[in-house]
Amino acid sequence: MLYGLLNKTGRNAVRKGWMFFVLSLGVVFAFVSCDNEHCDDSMYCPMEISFYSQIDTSEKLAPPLLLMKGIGSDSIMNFSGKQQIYFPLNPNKETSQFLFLMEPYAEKIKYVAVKTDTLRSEDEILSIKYYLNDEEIFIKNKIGKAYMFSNDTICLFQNGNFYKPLLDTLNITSDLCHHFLSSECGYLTTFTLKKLKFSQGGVGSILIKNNSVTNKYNDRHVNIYLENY
Amino acid sequence: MIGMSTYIWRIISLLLLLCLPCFSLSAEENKDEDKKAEKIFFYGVYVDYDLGDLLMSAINSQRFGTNASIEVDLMHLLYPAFEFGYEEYDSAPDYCYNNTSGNEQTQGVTNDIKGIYYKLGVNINLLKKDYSKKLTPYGFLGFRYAVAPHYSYDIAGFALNSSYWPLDDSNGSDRIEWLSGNSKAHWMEFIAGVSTPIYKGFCMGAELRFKQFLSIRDVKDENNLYLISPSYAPGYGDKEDGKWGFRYTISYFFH
Repeated sequence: MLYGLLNKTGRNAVRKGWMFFVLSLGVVFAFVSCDNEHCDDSMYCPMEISFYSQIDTSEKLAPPLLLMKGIGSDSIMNFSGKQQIYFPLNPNKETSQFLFLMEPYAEKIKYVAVKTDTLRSEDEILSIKYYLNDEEIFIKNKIGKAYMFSNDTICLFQNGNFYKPLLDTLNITSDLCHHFLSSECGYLTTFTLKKLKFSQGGVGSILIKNNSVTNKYNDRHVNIYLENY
Repeated sequence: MIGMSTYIWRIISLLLLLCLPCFSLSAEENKDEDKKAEKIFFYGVYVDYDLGDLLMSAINSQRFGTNASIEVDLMHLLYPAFEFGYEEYDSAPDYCYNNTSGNEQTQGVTNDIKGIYYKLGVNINLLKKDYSKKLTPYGFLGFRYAVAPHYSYDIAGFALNSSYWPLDDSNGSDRIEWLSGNSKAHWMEFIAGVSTPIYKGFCMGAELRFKQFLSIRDVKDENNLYLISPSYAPGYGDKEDGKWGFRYTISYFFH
């Protein structure tokens, strides 16, 4: 009713004021209700290794026992029975080192004189004590047939015998690039492989197929041709 | 991914914006018969200022932006335009960096962007032209080519991604040091809008813009150890975010 009492100029001013209010609401609703954003990119750049026979290089192999541990990390990766493996390189250093633990070749088995003292109650085993060189040792970790003892001895156990595994260190040298993607993702570290080498040279030969390690899914990087397989 | 609630609110705001022609253009109904006035080439120049940027700066304390434009009225048909603006924005606190479990904003990280930008383009008036008047309302479609030629970024507080390896804290922190540099971005904008006189040469207008990103320059440091891909450009916003923009202007017509 009040609107009808206004003259033409006043009615126009009221209409424009209402337009301003509607537009302001539009701006406010459009922008103040944004959700926080999470990262949609994959931030994982794993390196890939495929295993082949050195005797027949086209034959794919899956080592029955393969444990890897990054030197500097506490975590052990169990890749037993896998023909193709993926694992993370160290984003802080140009050289990543991994301890390789595998089943030794049949002709290179060395037994370890670990003695056991088993305490039983009827058919139940209550405890087992281990001794090496008359010194009691304790199990720190056990993965499959691999025993890691308190004196840093690592043994494999099969058919009642302890024996030494095949141990070697894989040294991977690469160029790093820390790629800042966005505020929600942060940095993604990619690698350009330069050199791979086993310290002891007892595992097998290495071929770099693709030296670019990125967050691309299912990339192939390195072939290892296992000796005596 | 943008939450569903964001889409719902943006649809509501778009509907509100589409109400605009009902109010502005109906108020300017010309009951006079068409005047066969002589068309001239140059009618005048609009200088406008974006009030939407000021409103956004008031709502969002991490952001400050301002922009203005100059438009030339040619034959009440073509309106060549030049826009320029400045924006500062710390985009990091809006995101849940390294936090996949909830929606808490990240603390202690910085991704500051600041710089000027320019836009050049033209609007085409689709409404009926009244050549007897110098200042008339117009509804238009238009486009802009935009460039932020040399804007700066400052990034700090982010850490390398490493769940398996221990982080390097030899420098007293597991965060990467402060990095800064300059980058350049190009994009296109497609515009639909209206402008209407309100009082003695003053006009108000509103525009809806669809932005299409063209390129943003990645920056490598001299050792090739860091590669920065800026995701935010002043005048455009986040290139991974929505492509819609809005401008709400007040202008003065010089003739």
